[in-house]
Amino acid sequence: MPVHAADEEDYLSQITAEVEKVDAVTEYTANESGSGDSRAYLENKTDFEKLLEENYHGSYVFYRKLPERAQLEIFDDYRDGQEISVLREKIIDRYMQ
Amino acid sequence: MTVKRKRYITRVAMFIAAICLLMAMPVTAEVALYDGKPYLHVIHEGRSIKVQRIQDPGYELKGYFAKTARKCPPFCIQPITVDPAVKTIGEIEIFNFMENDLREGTGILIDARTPSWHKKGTIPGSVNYPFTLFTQDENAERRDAILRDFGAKPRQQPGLIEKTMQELGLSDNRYLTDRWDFTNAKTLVLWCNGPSCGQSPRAIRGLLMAGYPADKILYYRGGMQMWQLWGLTTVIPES
Repeated sequence: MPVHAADEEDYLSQITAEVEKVDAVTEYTANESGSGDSRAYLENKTDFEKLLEENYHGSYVFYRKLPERAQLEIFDDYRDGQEISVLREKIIDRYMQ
Repeated sequence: MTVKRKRYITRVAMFIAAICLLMAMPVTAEVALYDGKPYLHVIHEGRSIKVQRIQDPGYELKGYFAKTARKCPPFCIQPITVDPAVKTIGEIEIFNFMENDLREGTGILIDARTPSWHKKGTIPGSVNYPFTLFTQDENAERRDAILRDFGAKPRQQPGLIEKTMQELGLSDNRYLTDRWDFTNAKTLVLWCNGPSCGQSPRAIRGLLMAGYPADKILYYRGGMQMWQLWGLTTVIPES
C-alpha cells in the first residue's frame, strides 16, 4: 500500500490530537534490580533456574554443580540484564575454576 | 510451671509456628501470565522490570484504553494481518520473545507510535521507533542508520564469483536486496495502540518496502489496549 504524503500528514495530525485524551498509564512495576525482600529474591532465582533448565539444559547441569556463591553471582548478572550466551560461558568458566 | 506460664509459652510457640509457615509458603501470583508462568523479568532502559498481571481481582480497566468507540477513520479496526507474509502474534508469543530474543539480543520490541504516545506509557522492553521513520522520505538517511542498528549490512557490488553463484542459484539470496544484506538482521516485533491503531501497520509496510524480510517481522496487533486489558505491567519511559 503506497503511503501518500498528504494522507500521512492528515493521519499524523489526527493521532497527535488523540493523544491529548490519554492519561499517562499507571506504572506497575515491582522488584526492580537489586531491590525486594530476600524471599522474592530467592524465588526469582528459582524462576531463573527454571528458565535455564527448560531452555539450556546443558548449562543448567553445570550450574547446579556450582557452589551457592557462584550461582548467586550468575543470577545477579542475569538480573542486571546480561545476555544468556554470556551467562552460559560464565557458568562453564566458574565450573572449570 | 504455672498454668498461666504454660499458656503463654504455647501462644508464643503457635505464633512462631505461624510465622515459619508463612515464610515457607511460596509467593505465587494468583493471576498468572499463563499456566505455570506467574511473571517474567525484562530489561527496560537498563532496569530489570517484573512483568506480571494486576493481582487485584476487582480491577477494571478505565480511561482511554477502555473506550470502545473512536472516530473511524482514522482509528478503524485493523485486519488481523498487515501483510500475508508477516505473522501476527499475541501476548504469549510476546512473553517468549521477551525471555528469549530480547535477552539474547536477537530481537527488538518496537513501540511504533509517535513519541507523544510512547511517553504516556509503554510495554517494558520496548524501544520507540515511530512509524514515520519508516514511511517518510525525509527520514531516508536516518532509516538507513536504523536498519544498520537492526543488524542489516549495506551491500557492496557483488564480485564476479558471487554474481555467478547467485545467477546459478548456488548461494542463498533469501535475505539479500540490491542495497542490503539482511542475513543477520534481528527479529522485530512491532506494536502500537491496539486493534484500531494504524501506526505499527504503517511501520511494517515501510520496513517491507525497505526490503526488510517479512519472516523477521512480527505484528502484535493487540498492542497497548490488549496489554492493559490483561492488566499487564506498563512503564513510563525515562528518556
